[in-house]
Amino acid sequence: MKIRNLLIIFIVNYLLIVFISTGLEIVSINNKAQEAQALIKQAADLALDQTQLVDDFLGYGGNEALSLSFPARDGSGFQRADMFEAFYGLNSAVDTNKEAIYQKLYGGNNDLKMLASRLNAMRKPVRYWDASRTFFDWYYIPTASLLGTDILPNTQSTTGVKDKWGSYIDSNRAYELLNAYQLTNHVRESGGVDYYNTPLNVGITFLNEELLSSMFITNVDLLMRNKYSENLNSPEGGDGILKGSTYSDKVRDGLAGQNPINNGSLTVLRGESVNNGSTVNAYKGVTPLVMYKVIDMYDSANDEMLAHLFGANKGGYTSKAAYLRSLDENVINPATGMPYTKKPIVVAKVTFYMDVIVPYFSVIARDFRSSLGDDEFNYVDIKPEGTTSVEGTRRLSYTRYFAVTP
Amino acid sequence: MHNMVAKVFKVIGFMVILIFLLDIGFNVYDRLTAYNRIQTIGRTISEEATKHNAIPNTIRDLFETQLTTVADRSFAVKRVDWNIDHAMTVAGYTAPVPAINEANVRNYGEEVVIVIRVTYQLQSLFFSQPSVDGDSMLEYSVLPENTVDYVFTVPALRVLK
Repeated sequence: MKIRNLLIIFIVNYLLIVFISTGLEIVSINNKAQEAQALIKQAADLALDQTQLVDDFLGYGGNEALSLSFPARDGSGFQRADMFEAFYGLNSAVDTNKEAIYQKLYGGNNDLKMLASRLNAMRKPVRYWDASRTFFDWYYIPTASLLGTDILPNTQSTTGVKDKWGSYIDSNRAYELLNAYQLTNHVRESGGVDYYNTPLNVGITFLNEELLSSMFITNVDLLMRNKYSENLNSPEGGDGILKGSTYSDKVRDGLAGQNPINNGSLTVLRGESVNNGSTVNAYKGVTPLVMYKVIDMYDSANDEMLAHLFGANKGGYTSKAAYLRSLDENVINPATGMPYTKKPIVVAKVTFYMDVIVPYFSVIARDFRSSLGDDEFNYVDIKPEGTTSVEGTRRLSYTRYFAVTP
Repeated sequence: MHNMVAKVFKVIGFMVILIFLLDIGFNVYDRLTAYNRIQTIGRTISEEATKHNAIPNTIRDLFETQLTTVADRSFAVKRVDWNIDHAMTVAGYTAPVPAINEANVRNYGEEVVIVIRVTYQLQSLFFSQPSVDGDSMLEYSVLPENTVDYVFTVPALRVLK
């Protein structure tokens, strides 16, 4: 009888421990998921801001190099380094590197070429000789041509010039016109100073995915160090891997190539290190997915998207599009002498990804998981189907819309 | 009669214990609420500090009001201070933690340390001085003040030109 009671007590105890552990585990995972989501959101929003500064740097008068803090390769803490040197091995302080940086970001970028081919609707009015060269007439050149037609594919969206009635003019005359405005070369010159028109500078939303990814993961890296209390720039922090109570060798072996960083509650994989001879570590992260769509800012059919981008305030108008149009009512199209009737803009849908490893909180959960594999597998390793993330990680994503207006 | 006196004393005794327990219970609840509010405000300040590398003048009043409200609404919290305009000496930090106003904007990657200093004083009815009259009685609680620093460390993430 006593043995039976004892057995019952053991079983009830065991079940209690399992139930309580499971409950606590769910709470813990929920908290960590929220923490990871806040992390990815903050890092992503700021990365979008930071990529715009690059456009300023390449634009007219933007000669100031951008230096950021990166983890030193020798583990001695953080070092300030030139951003382009860390990412591409090209020091932006050296003037001759500016062209190479431009080529890296935009000139040789196939995504930009593809986008430019789809921007037929985005045009700017310019004046040029009429066909008989007797008077000046109005023409519409593609906005993309402002980047320099030599880096773009030769399509009507990039080199095709329309007359004021909307018909394409002869391609030779179109080239003559673009050449007269010095748009056949991507290097701009003013007062003896070379500069570049970048997509954002001319009002075309385009993001270099590689740069965006590196900026994003650099932000994540810094945010992950929040929990190192006093000194974010300690040698441990600089080295990037600080082993805490929940992060041990047993989280997962063989991750060194993925450059994990742990903040005490979860581990983020920073991806491969960019190896270009710089003294600091920059990481590639997971390349974000950027998709583009051209919409008309004055069309109320796009109201939902416009509200996403520019806020919900309609200023008393029936639609957001009508409100935005009212703000531009004094902007006159010189070719017609009337306000513009359309305002096409490019909207980028940007999805950021982050590979995360969440260790189990409770010993019971770890033990259960280990029973299915070996000691190495003591983390939450639900891998969504169809993802290419590293085994054992959960790939989190965050999507937002981004647009610049001409 | 003899039993009556004993009963009265017993009831008074229980009442004293009950008042003491309720008093302590209320204070614990009050202090936990204040703690949670400080944590929430601290996290919001941290997010803004990360975005702007400091706390801009346009939003500092918002946080100042919230922190003042925490002190106003809580019996346990006597006052709240933060390092918006002045450096603060904090245990564990070798140098005073600098101010976080617009005059002290950090560079990208540098840390912004936000210190919210809360002075608690258990303003209990039970421990207050009986010789003081009326509303001011709580002000003369005999229990000492104790100060707790809530420290939030975040990186500055705006790239400044």
